[in-house]
Amino acid sequence: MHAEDRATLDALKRGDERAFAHLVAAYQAGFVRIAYTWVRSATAAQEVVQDAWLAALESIDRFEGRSSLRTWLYGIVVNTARAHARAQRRQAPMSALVAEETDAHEPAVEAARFVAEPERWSGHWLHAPAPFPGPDRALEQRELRAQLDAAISELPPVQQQVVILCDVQRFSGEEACNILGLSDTHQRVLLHRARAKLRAILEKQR
Amino acid sequence: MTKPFELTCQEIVELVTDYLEGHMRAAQRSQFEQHIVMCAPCATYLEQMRTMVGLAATLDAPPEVVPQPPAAVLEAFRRWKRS
Amino acid sequence: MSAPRTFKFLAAGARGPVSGFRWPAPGTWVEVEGAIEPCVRGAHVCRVGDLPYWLHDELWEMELRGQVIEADDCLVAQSARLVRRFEAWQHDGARNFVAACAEHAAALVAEAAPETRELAQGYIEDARECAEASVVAFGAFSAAVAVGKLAPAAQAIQAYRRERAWQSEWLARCVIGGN
Repeated sequence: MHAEDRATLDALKRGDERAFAHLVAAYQAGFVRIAYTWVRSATAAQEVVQDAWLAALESIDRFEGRSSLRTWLYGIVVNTARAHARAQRRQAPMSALVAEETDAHEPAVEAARFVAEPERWSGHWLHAPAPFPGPDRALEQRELRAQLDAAISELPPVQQQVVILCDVQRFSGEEACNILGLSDTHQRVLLHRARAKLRAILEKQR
Repeated sequence: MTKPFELTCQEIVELVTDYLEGHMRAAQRSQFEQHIVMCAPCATYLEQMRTMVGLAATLDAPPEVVPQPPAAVLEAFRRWKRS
Repeated sequence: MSAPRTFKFLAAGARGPVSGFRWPAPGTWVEVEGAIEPCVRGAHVCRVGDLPYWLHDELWEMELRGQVIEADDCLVAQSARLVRRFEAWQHDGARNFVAACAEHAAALVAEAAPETRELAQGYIEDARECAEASVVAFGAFSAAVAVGKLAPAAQAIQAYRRERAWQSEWLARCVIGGN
């Protein structure tokens, strides 16, 4: 078990309410964001997260530390969210969504942005991208960040889930696959498509 | 389709995710980087991706002021620690 | 026997062209943490023969220490530092280089049989346009590709690499010099 997880569990077992409050607060935004991708309402997402904490407390004594605590907790949130969505008949089965979101060829950047065949420069940029604001332009970066936040919620569900776990929560591809029950190949394609879509949305807004 | 010693920009944008996630073999990675060195628009595209992924990681930072957990959750914790 | 000289092209302001990493002033060592691995981790530097593949705004001489791995088109070191910048590259070295690449390739293309020349001609025009606009990396690349297209398909890559080797020798003679 990771030393940090060990320390967290020890504090919880000692009944340290402050440590527990910190844990809940630390995960709140991330849990709500991912739960939302299943239940599509802020209220329902809050309910999912609450239920997930109750479920976690019921089984935390059985947590062995084979994965990190964080991975384990996210797994519980995902399962809870799925159960809520199923109960509300809110969503198609995962396999159908994955097929839909990974099938048909979808270029990262639309072909019209590049020189078309049979020109000699075919495949090269025709309309080049312009740089996003860097950290030295704080106000514009804050705007970009807010736009990104909104853009993520516009993604198709599984792409949204993958980008949330991989880019917002910094899980590895493998951890994301375990949490969501995806194959490695699907995870890579979904992350690639999600990022391409997000970039295009951000670019349009500039 | 790909000539052995050149990658087009259209191919580069499809490879950016593999590059950033470290899924490329050395030879392809080298080819990718050589294109980036030569091609300002592709260097910009890579930088856009890096900026965006970097910003994504800041979206759900924990709050500065830690609120009380919801009543039901706090109550469940108290029941658990007593058991 | 002294170690072979090593070099690095950087973007303006001594920044890595792909990573954006800002190199500290000459003399300060950059230490890489963790095991070095080509294209993944480590300070990537050029031998003379590697230079044409990495052309950029600034050319620096490098010093290495610690473990060094040889990769196909570079060396990867555990630790490196900038030694000095080749001002000749800044001033007209880069411009003269791309012009020389375009002309050297053009001369080879002019000598070739008409059928083989046709494929290469477009790349020569690109190389010349790049030379005029001082678009250095792409110009040198186009020149080398042009020469590659003169050879039969199975030998195209070797021909391309031989032209790149000619470009390295030009850099060694005209920019880096002997000291």
